[in-house]
Amino acid sequence: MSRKLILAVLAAFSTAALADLNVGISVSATGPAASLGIPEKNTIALLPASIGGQKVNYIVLDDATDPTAATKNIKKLISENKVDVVIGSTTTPNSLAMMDVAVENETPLISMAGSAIVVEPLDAKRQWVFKTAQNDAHMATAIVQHMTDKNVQTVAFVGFADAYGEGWYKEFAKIAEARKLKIVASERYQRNDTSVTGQVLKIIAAKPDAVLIGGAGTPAALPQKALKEKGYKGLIYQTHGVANNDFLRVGGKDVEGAFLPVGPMVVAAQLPNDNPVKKSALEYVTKYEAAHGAGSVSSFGGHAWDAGVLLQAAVPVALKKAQPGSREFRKALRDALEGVRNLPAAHGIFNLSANDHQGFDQRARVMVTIENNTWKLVK
Amino acid sequence: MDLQILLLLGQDGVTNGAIYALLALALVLVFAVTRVIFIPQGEFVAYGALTLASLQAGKLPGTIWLLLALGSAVVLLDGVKLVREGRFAKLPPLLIFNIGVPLVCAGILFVIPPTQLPLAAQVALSMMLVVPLGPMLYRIAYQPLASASVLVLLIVSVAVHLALIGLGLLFFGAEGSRTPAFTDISFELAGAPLQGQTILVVVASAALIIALYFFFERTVYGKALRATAMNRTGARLMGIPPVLAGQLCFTLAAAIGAFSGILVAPITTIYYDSGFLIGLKGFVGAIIGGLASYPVAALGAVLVGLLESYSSFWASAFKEVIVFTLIIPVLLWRSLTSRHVEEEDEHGGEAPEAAARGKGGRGIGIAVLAGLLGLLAAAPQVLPEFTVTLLNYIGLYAIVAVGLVLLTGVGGLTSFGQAAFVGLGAYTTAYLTTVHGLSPWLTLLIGLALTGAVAVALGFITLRMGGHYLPLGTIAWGISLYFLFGNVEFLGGHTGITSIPAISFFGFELKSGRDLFYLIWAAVLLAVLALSNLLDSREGRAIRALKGGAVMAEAMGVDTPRAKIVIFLIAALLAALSGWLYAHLQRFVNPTPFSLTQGIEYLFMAVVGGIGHVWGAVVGAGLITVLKQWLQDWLPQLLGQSGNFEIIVFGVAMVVVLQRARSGLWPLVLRWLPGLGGQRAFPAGAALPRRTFPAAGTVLLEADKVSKRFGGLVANNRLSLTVKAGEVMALIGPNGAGKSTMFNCISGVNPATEGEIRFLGEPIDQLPSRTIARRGMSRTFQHVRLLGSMSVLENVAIGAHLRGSKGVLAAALRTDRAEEARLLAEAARQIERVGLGEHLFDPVGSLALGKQRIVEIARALCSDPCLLLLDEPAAGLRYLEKQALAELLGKLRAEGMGILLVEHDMDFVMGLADRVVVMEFGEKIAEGLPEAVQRDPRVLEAYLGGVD
Repeated sequence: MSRKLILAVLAAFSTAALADLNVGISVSATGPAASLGIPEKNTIALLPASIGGQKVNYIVLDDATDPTAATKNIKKLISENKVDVVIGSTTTPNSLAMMDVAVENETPLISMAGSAIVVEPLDAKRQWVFKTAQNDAHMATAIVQHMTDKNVQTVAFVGFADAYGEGWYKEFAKIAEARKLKIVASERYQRNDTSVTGQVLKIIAAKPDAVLIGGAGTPAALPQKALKEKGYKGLIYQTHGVANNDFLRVGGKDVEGAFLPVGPMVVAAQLPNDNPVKKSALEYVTKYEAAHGAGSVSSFGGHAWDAGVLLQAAVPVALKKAQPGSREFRKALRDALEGVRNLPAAHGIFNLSANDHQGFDQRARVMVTIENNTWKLVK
Repeated sequence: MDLQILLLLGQDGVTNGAIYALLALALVLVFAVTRVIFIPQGEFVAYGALTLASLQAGKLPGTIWLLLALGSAVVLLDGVKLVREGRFAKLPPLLIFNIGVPLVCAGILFVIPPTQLPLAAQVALSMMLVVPLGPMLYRIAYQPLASASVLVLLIVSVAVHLALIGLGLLFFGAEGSRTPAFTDISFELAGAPLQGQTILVVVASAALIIALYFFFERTVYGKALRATAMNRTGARLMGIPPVLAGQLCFTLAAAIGAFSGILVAPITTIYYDSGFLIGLKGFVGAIIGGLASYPVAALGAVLVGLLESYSSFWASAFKEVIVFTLIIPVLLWRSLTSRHVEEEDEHGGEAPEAAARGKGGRGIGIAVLAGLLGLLAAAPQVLPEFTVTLLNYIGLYAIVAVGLVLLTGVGGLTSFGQAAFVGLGAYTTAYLTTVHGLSPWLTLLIGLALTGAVAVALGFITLRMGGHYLPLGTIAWGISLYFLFGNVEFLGGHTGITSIPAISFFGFELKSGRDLFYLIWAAVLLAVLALSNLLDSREGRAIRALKGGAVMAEAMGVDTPRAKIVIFLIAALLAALSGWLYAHLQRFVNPTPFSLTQGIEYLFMAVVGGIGHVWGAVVGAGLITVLKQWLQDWLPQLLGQSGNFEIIVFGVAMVVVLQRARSGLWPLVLRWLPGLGGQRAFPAGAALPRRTFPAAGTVLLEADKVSKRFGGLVANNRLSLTVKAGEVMALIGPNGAGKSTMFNCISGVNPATEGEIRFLGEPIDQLPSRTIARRGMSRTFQHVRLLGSMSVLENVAIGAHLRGSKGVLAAALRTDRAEEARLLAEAARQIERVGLGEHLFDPVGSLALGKQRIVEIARALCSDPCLLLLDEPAAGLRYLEKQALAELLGKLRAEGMGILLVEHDMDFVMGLADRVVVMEFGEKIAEGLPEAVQRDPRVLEAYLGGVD
């Protein structure tokens, strides 16, 4: 085996010698977060083959939604494939696990995870970490805003018993408290539980004006269906994690009327023409659906696309300072990423800085509702 | 909580419970007939539901390709054999079933768009696509391993499960599906809505359970299956081929699984990986039923459903913690109230050979060790960075797997929960170093102490469980601890703890993988060395005796509950050590690496490497880590970029490995290393102190009106006898007279119901057998209880257990050598004495049965008894051997030993015994000198059936 490894290393060296740009990717293409990771993986194939005249090699690895595997992956990408930058991973825990390795090797890491703790607080370690997905807090604020506009006073939460649900609950509870929204119930369920009757009955018993469901993909349909079945009449909110066609397919008529904040790309075609994100969002949607069929795009793939958008902006800047494959280049790339301003992407406009490694503003979220089994922009 | 909620929760619990019950029945059936714990049962649920959903969405379900592929594989496997044997008549049915049916299904799908078919036809088609996978899997994965141990079959199940999960993701995608309800009716129940489909699930499940009942009671095939389940050998003798029974029960299991999936898909969303959790809960129900009773299994499953429903109402975040914690007392209760025969563990199972290699094994051990040390010392300097990284992870896994070798491979206690102990070690250091800023070295000690405390507490509860209750107990607390990590706020919840500091070593920070490498591998080597030392010692022999059943070990004075706790503790501490290293290598922890899945993976590594061998753990950890990495590197290049085939190929590869090497890979490695046998020196050591014998004629044993009843059956009725020092007392009687029962009463193996037994003047009838052994009584067994793969010397040395005192720590550190030499020398002396000196180092299993009985006598003598109980020692001996035995017993008598003898050979008895007690139907019918007894008319009648 070691001989094979040595060969692999040699192979890596020989490609690196040509000074191609090597981009390592670790996504959760299997395991519990597979429904998020697969569109991300698919998107990588759509990224440009060269940036700034430099050939780009994308090395995609699966981390099976396991932080240990994610760490193994980034160590391999850095030590064997000599990557200049790493994109990954899909989930917050995996991204946190990869962070230390990225910092120790002074390699920029672009995460696609939701939770703000990946890039905040911006301490010495996080200097090397960037993130393309909107912070949970960013999205939660939109929900709370919408709730208060609708005169909601009491709210219940039911979410995944994992890092996704946990991250959402924390951010949502913080903002809700500040805005005097009362959380009357907070329940958890497993992603592939067959029943949430207990949780739903408890929520209904608490009589909330609205319910927020903190789940991603098709599993988020189960609580909403159960709420409808048990006769709940209040408002139901979902998170941007559900924004794919499968959710609509499984949810059917029961998810009609749900509100959720999403990145603009989900409803790109419905955006007014003067929306600054419309063009860049449509570009991604068109590309993805051309490759995978109409309606196949999901908001998670957009985060991978946006990582590509960031690289397309930052790499040419960094190339002026150093050649790929060097420590100087990685440093220059990090600096260039931090210097990205007003960059339209699928999910919003990036304005990165030494204080903000996520860089989206209000333009990166819109409220939508589900109407006639499709996403409808709430004006 | 009002009545309506109570009712709704109950209804929800019963609905889910009904599905769990169906799966529980299938699991019980498969286990009873084939001894396979069918983990992939859940995948059939998912496949059934998702195949139907694919048809309804107008897509071609991927299961058709799997069906064609597996069918072709079966045809290849069986067809070649049939053609070679010239049994051409059997070919057409083989082809029709395995290729014809799938092709017909495929044909229908291509001709008629599935969306246009009526629902019933779609359901039928889905069943036809999924159900044949059951028998095909049986043929390909399990049939070649039909005689393997339960543990190996379980690990094959895990491998099949992994492959099916991978295929499921490939076929159906990561997102879930629902199917339309069969019925739209809905009712009102106590003011609450009740869907028709929900009722349908319960009614259909109940109907299916009743149908199964009739199938088993009334049909030929059902009866055949039942017969096989009750007695595999018997069924084979009755002409029921085990292969047919296996195919039949896998077909049924697949049908039940797929049907369950189709039933629930309208009321819940089914994902490619839904099966495992649903199956696990069915499994819990099945185990509550003892993997034997169908009604109790069904009730258990419904209980699980109800528990789940109510706990999701009370505290949804802690639902799994509640359900699985509540399972533990139920298991304990079931385990203590049901009599389970540990059929397999008695004589089967792959006994640990590593330890059996004794001194020779150590010789290689040292040679291999020296070589390894050199390689390992050089490794970080010369190897590429990532290879060092991989070696680090291999080391971490190996530490846990080595613990499992001791616990599961040697001790016979299967644990799925080791990952939770790894988590305890990791979380303790993560929390204390980040929040309280403690030194990692201090947190290592705290972590070990904490894990030790938890392990002792858990061990105290779960290790009392026998049979299959124990593994499930470990699953239960493994899951509970995992969800506890995820739900405890100060431990960072599911997200985890970051910024764990590096370990510093005399001011030097072990930051990189290369730095930690030496620490990790030092831990691996120390663990391997300590355990090899331990297994080759007095305590080690006691631990290895556990697998031979507690009865023999206890009779030799081994405190088996304590021995079990000790190995459980050692395995847990090793796991915690691995966790500590993991936390400081990874510098980040969250609950994922400590889940049940990882716990199963550790067991997987140990079994694939060779669970009977300490080095097997290292080999297994290495192979699995490297194989996974290799697949990740090369598969995408071989197959193109898309798809996630790694897990599928990995699962298939593991099935193949286990079929080729069911004892794991290490035995194969050993075969390739030449000159490992090595000649061993005859053990030498000073004689051990002897017990002072009572003067000849002193009454040693006095049984007074001893009765033993099993339920209504009276095995012994008011039986009295005495044995004096320096005499041979024979207990004779026809078969079934109750002689062995009396032996068991006297030796404390199975205490008497009534009456008093005094040994050396003190009552012993309430004492456990190990205490009685300590007082100077030793025994042999009618059915020999020896450890087949251990040498004669080691088997006999178990008898000397009570004559040594060095413990586990002394053994691991090798400070027990002086005592060990004396014990082995004593064992060797006894073996010489009984005339088996030439077989000293032979595995005892290679001896003829008669000689094995003599080994049992040597073992009993090794404990320096003043009273010896021999249960049919002369059975199976040749004439000269009998003479030698009689001579030996005469010599022992002359030394002042008292001997109580059960024997059928009248010439032998009458020539040797001083006094004789004759039993019939549990009662004493005569007592006296041999000649007098021989003339007693009642005795003659008993033996000859009435002579007038």
